Amino acid sequence: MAPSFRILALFGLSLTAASALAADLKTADLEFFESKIRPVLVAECYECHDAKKQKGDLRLDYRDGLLKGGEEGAAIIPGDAKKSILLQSMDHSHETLQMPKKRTKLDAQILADFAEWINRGAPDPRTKAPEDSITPAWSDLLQVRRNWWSFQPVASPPVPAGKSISAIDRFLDVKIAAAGVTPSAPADKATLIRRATYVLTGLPPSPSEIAAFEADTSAAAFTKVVDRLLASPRYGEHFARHWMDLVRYADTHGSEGDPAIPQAWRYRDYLIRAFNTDVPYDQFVREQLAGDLLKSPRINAADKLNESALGTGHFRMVEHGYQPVDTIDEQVRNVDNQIDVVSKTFLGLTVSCARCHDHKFDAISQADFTAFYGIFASARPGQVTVDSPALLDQHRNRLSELKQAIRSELSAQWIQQAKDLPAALERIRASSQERVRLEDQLAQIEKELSADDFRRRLKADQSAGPAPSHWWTFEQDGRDLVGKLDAKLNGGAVIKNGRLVLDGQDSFAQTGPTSATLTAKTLEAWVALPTLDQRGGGVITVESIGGGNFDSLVFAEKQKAKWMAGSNNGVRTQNVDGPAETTKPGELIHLAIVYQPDGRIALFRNGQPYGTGYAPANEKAALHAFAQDKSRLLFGRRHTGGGNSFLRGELEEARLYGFALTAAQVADSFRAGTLRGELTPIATKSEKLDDLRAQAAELRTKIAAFNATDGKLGESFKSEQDPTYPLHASTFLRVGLKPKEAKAPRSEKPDWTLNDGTSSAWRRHGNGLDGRFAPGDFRVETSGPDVLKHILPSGLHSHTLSSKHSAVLTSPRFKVSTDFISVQVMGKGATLRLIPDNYPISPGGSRFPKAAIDTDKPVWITLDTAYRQGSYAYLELTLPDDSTNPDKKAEPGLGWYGVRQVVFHATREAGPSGEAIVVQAPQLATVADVSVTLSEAATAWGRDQATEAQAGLLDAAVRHGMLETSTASSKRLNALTDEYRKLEAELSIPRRAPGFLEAQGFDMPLFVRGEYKNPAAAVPRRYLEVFDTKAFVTTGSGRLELADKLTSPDNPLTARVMTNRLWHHVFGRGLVGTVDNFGRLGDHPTHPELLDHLAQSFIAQKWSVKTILRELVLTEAFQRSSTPTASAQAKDANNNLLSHVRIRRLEGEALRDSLITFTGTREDRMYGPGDNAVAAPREQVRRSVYLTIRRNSLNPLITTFDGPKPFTTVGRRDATNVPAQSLTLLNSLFVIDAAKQWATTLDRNQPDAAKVDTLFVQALARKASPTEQVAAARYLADLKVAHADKPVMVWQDFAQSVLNLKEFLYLK
Amino acid sequence: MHPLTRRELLRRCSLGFGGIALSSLLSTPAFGAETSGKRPLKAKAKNVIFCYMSGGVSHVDSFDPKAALAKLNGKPMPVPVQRTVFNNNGGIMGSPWEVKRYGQSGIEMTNLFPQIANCADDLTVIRSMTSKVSEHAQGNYFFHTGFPFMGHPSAGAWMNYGLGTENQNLPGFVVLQSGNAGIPHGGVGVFNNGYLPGQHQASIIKADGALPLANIQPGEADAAQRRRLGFINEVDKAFAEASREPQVEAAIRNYETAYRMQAAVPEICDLSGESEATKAMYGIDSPDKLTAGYARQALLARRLVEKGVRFVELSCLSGNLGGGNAANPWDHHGDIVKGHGMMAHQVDQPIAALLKDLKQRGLLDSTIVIFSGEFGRTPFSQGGSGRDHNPYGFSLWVAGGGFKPGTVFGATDELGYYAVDKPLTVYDFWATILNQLGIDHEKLTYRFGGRDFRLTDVHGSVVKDIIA
Repeated sequence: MAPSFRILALFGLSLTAASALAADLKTADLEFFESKIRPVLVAECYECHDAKKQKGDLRLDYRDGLLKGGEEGAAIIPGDAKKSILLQSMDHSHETLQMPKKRTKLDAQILADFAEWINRGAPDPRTKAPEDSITPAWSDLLQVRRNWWSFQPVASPPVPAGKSISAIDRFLDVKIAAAGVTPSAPADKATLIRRATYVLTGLPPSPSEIAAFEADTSAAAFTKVVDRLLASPRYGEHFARHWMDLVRYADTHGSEGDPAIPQAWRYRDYLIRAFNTDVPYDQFVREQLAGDLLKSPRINAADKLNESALGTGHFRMVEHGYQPVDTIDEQVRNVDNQIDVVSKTFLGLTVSCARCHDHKFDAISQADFTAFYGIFASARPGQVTVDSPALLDQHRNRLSELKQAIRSELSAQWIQQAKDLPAALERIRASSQERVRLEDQLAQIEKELSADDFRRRLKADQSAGPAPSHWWTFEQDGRDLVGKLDAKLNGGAVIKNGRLVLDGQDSFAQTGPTSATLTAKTLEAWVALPTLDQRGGGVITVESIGGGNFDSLVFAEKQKAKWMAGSNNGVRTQNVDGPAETTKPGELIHLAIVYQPDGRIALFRNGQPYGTGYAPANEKAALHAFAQDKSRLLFGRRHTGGGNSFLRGELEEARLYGFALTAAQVADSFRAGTLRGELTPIATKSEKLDDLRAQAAELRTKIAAFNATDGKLGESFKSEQDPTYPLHASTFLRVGLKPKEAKAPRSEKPDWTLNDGTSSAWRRHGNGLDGRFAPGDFRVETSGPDVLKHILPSGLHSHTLSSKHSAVLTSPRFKVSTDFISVQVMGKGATLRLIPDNYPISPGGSRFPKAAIDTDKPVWITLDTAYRQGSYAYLELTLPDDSTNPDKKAEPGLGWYGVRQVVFHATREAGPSGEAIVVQAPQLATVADVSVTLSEAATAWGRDQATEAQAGLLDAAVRHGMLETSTASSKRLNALTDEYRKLEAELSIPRRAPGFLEAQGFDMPLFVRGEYKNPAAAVPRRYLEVFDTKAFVTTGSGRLELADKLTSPDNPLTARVMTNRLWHHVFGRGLVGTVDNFGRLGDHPTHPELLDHLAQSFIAQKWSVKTILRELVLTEAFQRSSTPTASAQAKDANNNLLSHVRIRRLEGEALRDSLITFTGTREDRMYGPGDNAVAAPREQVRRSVYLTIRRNSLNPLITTFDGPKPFTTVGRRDATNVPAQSLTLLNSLFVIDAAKQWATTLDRNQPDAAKVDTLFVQALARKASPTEQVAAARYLADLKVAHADKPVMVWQDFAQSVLNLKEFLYLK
Repeated sequence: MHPLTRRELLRRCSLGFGGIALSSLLSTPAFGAETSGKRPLKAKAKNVIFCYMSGGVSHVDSFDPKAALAKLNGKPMPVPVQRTVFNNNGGIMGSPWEVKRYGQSGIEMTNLFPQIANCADDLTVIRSMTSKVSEHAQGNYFFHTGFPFMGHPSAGAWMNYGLGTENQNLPGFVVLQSGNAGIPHGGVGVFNNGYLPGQHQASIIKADGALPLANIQPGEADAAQRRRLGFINEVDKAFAEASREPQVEAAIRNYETAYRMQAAVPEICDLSGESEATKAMYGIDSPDKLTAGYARQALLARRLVEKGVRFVELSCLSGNLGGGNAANPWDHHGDIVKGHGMMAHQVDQPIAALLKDLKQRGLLDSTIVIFSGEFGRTPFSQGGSGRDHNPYGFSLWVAGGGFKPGTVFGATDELGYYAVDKPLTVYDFWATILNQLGIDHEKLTYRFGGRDFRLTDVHGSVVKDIIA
C-alpha cells in the first residue's frame, strides 16, 4: 500500500515552493520524494527537527537543513547513502544515534527508499525554511502508518526446503544455517517430558508418566505424550489461566470494600471448557465480544449451558471506584480499560493510547477510540442468564396452556359466584353481628388475661433479684412490662409463640426514646439461634438515636460464633475470647452484659462469666452516657446504619437494668428463668384466670366455625359501617372503580407510560419477562389453598409463569435532567435502581438512588436523582439473583415485580400522587349493579379481554373474598393447578454470570483532549479506520459487528496475535517478543514469514488452538536441549534463532500446583466457586486457577512469583528475581508445610539414596547423579545429627531443600 | 540479532535490591540515556520519609486556618458546593482550634499539631494542593501512583527504581506499621511496584512485631540454614554451569542477599540500642498507646534512612473514631474535634521528634519528610460535627531535602474550599520531589504495554518557588 501521489497536495505549505522548483527537478525524482520521502520526514522526524524544535541543532524540514546538518555534521551526503548520518541513524548502524527516538526501526522498505533517494543525489524541492511547524494532518499520518508490517495482509510464504518434517522447523533452520549456528542436540527424555508437561498443563509429570515415556522406545513416543497432555483436563485449566492474564480476570471490583462480581467464576469455568474442547478460536473471539447475541449459540449439552452467553464476562472485570462522586469520569476509566484489554488481547494494539489524542505512533486515531467507546458503553453491565434456551423454555408452553385453562375455569366459576353474590351477602350479613360480638369479647378477655399474668409474675419475682428497669417478654407484642419503652416491630419481625422472631434480613424491634440517661447498665436476654453460621447480629442494643453511639450484645462479628460487647466503631469492644457458641437450634441461652460504673465490661452466658472481662484500652472509650430522650433500645439489630447488623434468631425475653448487676445476681436471674417458664404454675392457681381461659377457648372455637362457613368474604365483613365492607363505596374508590383526581398535574416530560410504544423500548433480559402489557394477568400460586391471590393491572410484569425465572428490565437511556423520578411499580423482594453511566454498584442513598419494592399493589416510588444530574442513566428492575450488586441473598422463587409508568419531575411536590390506577368506571349503586358488573368482568377476563377497570374490580373482589380462589373449588381447577404446580416445581433456577446486556446503541462524542466535559461531534460506532471507515449498520451496540471484523479471515492481526501467543507459551518468547503490542513500540517479528505461515495455517485448520500447539510442541526446535552450542553463544546470544530451548522460571501457579502435587493433597475437582486464596496451607487443595482472585488480597505466594495484578492485559509475565522469592521458599509456612507433607509420602523402608531419588524424580523428573547423591548423603548425615531427637525433621528439611533447587524452579 | 541489551538483561534477570545502583541505572535507556551527554540533575536529597495521613486531614483545622469560617459559622456556603461523597452538607463550620503564628517565619497554623507547629521554620507548607478524586481508595492510588486505580507503581517504587538502594541487605522501599495500623483503602496495591520489576515493591515492616517482615524469620538455626544452603548451592552450581543462563546465576546470588536480609532486618528493627533521651523525645513510652506506636515507626524511619533505605512510608494507627478505621484513620465525617484531636496527638510528638532528630544528625538536608493525606476536608460541616472530603484544595508540608524552609506556597480561597493561588497537582508535587532527588520526572519512564509510563503520567512541572 504505497502512499499515493496525492500526498503532494496535502502538505499545502510547501506546495508553491514545490511547483516553482519542479522545473529544476526531474518529474520522477519529484514524485519519488513526494510519495516516499516527504511523508516519512513529516510523520517521523519533524516532531523534533523543524522550525520549532531542533534537537541536536538539526532541522529536517527543508533541504539545506539536511545538508547543513546538526551537532554531528551533515545529515546526508548526497550520492552516498552509506556515509549519511541520517540513514545510519535510521537503520541503527550509527554508534550513538538511533532514530526515530524511542521507537523501533522503520520498515526495511522505507530505509531502502531513503538509501535510494540519497544515492540519487537527494533531490529535494524544499528550498525555503518554513517559518512554523507543520502539524501533519491525521490523514497523512495514517497514510504512512498504515504501511506498518502488522497491518499488511497475512502472506503465504513458501515453505523453505529442508530435511525436517515440520514446516516450522524448516523456517527456523534456514535462519540458523544462514547465521552459521549449530543447533543444540535433542534434549534427554526426562527433560523433554518435564518441559512438555509444564508447558501444556502447568504441572509436573508424575513418576509413572516419566517411567512410561522412558520405556517407550517407539518413534511416536513423544507424540503419544503430547496427545495425552492435550487431552487432559489439566490442559484447559492451564490455558484458561493464560487467558485470564489477558482479560485481567478477577472475582472482585477492588477499591474500597472490594465488592464481589457475582458468579465471576462461571467465566473461568467457561474458559476451561472452551480450551479443553478446543472451541475454534474465531468462535471463541465472537463469544468474547458478543456471545449473548449469537443467532445460534454454542450449547453445552451435558450441562445445559449456553456457553456463548458466558463469553462477555471479562467486560465486567474492571476495577470500580467506590461510590464515585463523578460516575461519568468513572465510566471513562472503565470503558478505557475495556478498550485497552480488548484491543491488546485480540489485536495486539494499544487503542487506549488514543484516548486523549490520536495515537503517537500507530495508525489509531482518537476517533477509533471513540468508536469503540460507543460500542462498549452502549452495552450494559448485568448478570446474563446462561442456561440453554431449551432449559429456559422448559414447560413454558404447557404452563401457558394450563394458565389459560385455569383462567377459563375460574372465569366460569366467578360468573356463577357473581350471580350468587347477593344471596351470599345476605347470609353473611345475618351471621355477622354475632360474630363481631364474639370477636370483641375474646379480645377483651385476652387483654385481661395477659395483664393479670404479667402483674402476678412481677410480684412473684421480687425475690429472684433486683427488678429490671424495663422488661420485654414478647408474649403478644413488644410492650415493656415495667416501663414505657414499648418496642415496635420492623421489617419482617413477628411475634410467634411468645417470641420475637427475627429473620436476619431486615427485621428488628425498636423502642421509643428512653426517659432516663443510661451509663452503668446491664443488658440481658434469652435467645435461641437457628444457625450459628451468621455474623454481626445484635441481640439487644442501647443506641443514641441515629446509631452514632451504641452498646450491644453481639453475636460473631469479630470472631466466628463468639459473643462480644459491640460498640460504635468498636471503641469499647475487645475480644473476650469466650468459647465458640454451640447451642442447638431452638435451644434457649441466657446472655448478659454488665457495664460497670468504672467502665469495665463483663459478659455472661447461662449465668457463668463468658470470656475475660475488660476495661476498654482506649481512655477515650470510657463508659458512654446514653442521654435521655436521645437514646433507644433495639432488638435483633446491632445498630441502625451499618451493614450486616441483623440477628437471625428468636428472643424469648429481654431486660434492661439501669445499673450493673453483680455476677451473683446474673447467676440468680439465670436460675430464676424466664416468665414463660413459670407462667403456667402461677396461672393455674387462679380460678378467675382459669375461667377466663376456658371462655377464650370457647370463643375461638365459635369464631372458627363462622369462618369455615363464610370464608374470606365473611372474615372481612364486619358491618356496613366498616370501611372494609366489600360493597362500601370507599372500597370501590380504593380499587379504582371511581377514580380520584390526581393531586397535582405531572410536571416535566418525558413521561413514560409503558402501555404505549415505550414498553418495547425497555430492554427485557432473562426468561421471566414476556413483555405483555395488557391488564388481567396473574400468577398461579405454587403452594397453599389459593390458585391465585391477585389480578394484575396493566404493566410490564415479571415472573408471570414462574418466580424461578430470571428477569432484568431496563429503561431506555436518558440524560438525568430532573431532581426526581417517580416510577409506578409493584413487586416483592425486587429492587428499582437508577444506574448512572453504567456504574453497576449502588450502595443506595441519595447518591445512588434505589428502592426496595415490597408491595402487592402498584405504588409510586420516587427516586431523588438530583445528585446525578447530567449523567446518562437508565432505570433497572431486578431481583437479587439478577443484580450486579445485590443487597441481600436471593430467595429463589419468591420475588417478582411490575412497572407501569415513569414521571420525571423537578420537585418532590410536583410528583404524581393519588390512586395508582386511574380509570373510568361505572357507577355501582346496588348489590345487583355489582353482581352484573362483576359477572361481565369475569366473562371478559376469561377471554383475556378485561379492561383496566374490570381487572381492578376482579382484583378487589379476589382480595376481599367476594370471588372464590380456592383450588378445591372444582375438581378441574384442582387438577389443573396440581399439574401446573408439579411442572413449575420441576423448573430449575436459571444460572447467571457476569456479562453484557445488549441495549439500544448510541454514538459517543469525541472528548477533546480526553476531557469528557469538552465533547465534540459524535463518532459512529465502527471498526478501526485503518481497516474500515464505514459505520456499523445496527440499532444495537455494534459488538456483533465488531466480532465479525475481528474474526474475518482478512483481519491481519487476529490470527497472528493468537498464534504468536501460543508460540510465546511454548517457546518462552513470542516471534514478536511484545505479545500484546504489534504496533510501532512493539518488537518486529524475528521470523515474519514463519509468523504468517502459522497464522495462515491456524485459519486453514479451523482456528484450532490444540492443532497449532501440537505442531509447535512436536517441532525439533521444541525438543532441543537448552544448553547452547558454542556457535550459538558466539553468534546468537539472545537465542532469537531458537537453536536451543529457552530456560524459564515456573510461573507462580505452576510452583504452587507442583507443591500440592508432591504432597499428594491436590484435588482435581473442577469448576465452581473459587477457593480462598489466603486460606491456611492445608485448606488450599485445588489448582491455583481455582483460587478466588480478590483484587485487594491476592495469593502471596503467586504474587511473589510474578502473578499478574488484575488491571490490564498481561500476555507476557515478568520473571523477576527478588529476595522475597528466596525468603518465601526458605521460610514461608506454605512451603515448610508442603515439605513436611511431602516427606511423609516417602517409603520409610527405602534406603536414603532411593528416597533422594524419589524426591528428585518428582521435582526434577530425574534421579540424583552420583555426585548429588554424595552431597545428599553428607547433608543427610548432618541433618540426622541435628535432628537426633526428632528424626521426622530430617526428610522434611531435605524435601524443603529440594524445593529450593533452581532446577526445580526453572524449566530447562 | 543483536546481543542481549543491557535493558533486556535487567528485565530478564533483575537482581536483588542492590543490583541496580544509581550509576548503572542512569545509563540505561529506561532513564533516558539516549539524551547522550546529558547528566542527570544534581541531587539535593537521597531519601524520602512519607508520613501518610490516610483518610484526609482537615487543612482548615491545621495548616490553612481561615478566619472567615469562624465569622460565617453555621451560614450556608456562599459559593456552589460540588458533589460530596456523603451528600449530607451542612453550613460553614468554624475551626475549634486556636490560630497562631509560629516560629520566626510566622507561619499561621492552628494548635492542632503544637509540636510540629513549633518546627515551623523547617517546614514548607503547600496550601494549594488538589486531587482528582474524592474517594479514599482512588485518592490513595492517585496520590501514590499518579493514577486513580491499581496496577501502577507507587512513588516509593519509582524512586527505588530510579535510584536503587544503598544497602543491599535492606529493601529500598519500606512501609512501616505498628499497633493496629493497616493498609489504606485500595489494598497493598497502593504500595505496589506495578509494572516495575518486583524488587521495587514495598516491604511492609512491623515496627513492633516479633516478625517485622513476612518470611524473614528462618524456621531453623543459622548453622542449620547454612548447611541447607550449602547443599542447595552444590546442586545448583552444576545446573547453572550446564545451562549457562544468567537468570539462574542471578537466582543463586539472590539467596545470598536473602540470607543477609534475615539478619539485617531484625537488627535494624531493634530499637533497644537507642538512648533513653531519644526514645523519650519520640514518645516511645507515651501513655497514649497510639503515640507510642507511631513513635516506634518514626524512630525506625530514621534508622532505615541512616542505613540508606530510599523511601520509607509511615502508617497511622487508628483510634476507631467517627468512621476513621484502620484503613482511613483521619476520616472524620462526624465529631472531628474528638477524632482529629486524638489523631493529631498520635503523630504530633513523633513527627516533631523525627524532624529534630534528623536535623541534629545532619540528615535533614538529604532527607525529604512529607506530611500529607489523600485530600483535605470541606470547610462546611457534614452532619453537624464532621467534615466531608475535599479534593479541590488542601494542604501538605515538606521539610528538608533542599526545600525552602519556613515558607508557605499557594493558597485556597477565603473559605479554604478551592485552591486559587498557584494550584498544584499531585504530578507537580512528585515532579518536584523527584527533582530534589536528582531525577527529571519526564525521563523516569518505564515501557509497559506499548507505552512509556511515568509517575507524573503526562503532566507535572517542577515547582521552582519552593526549592532552595
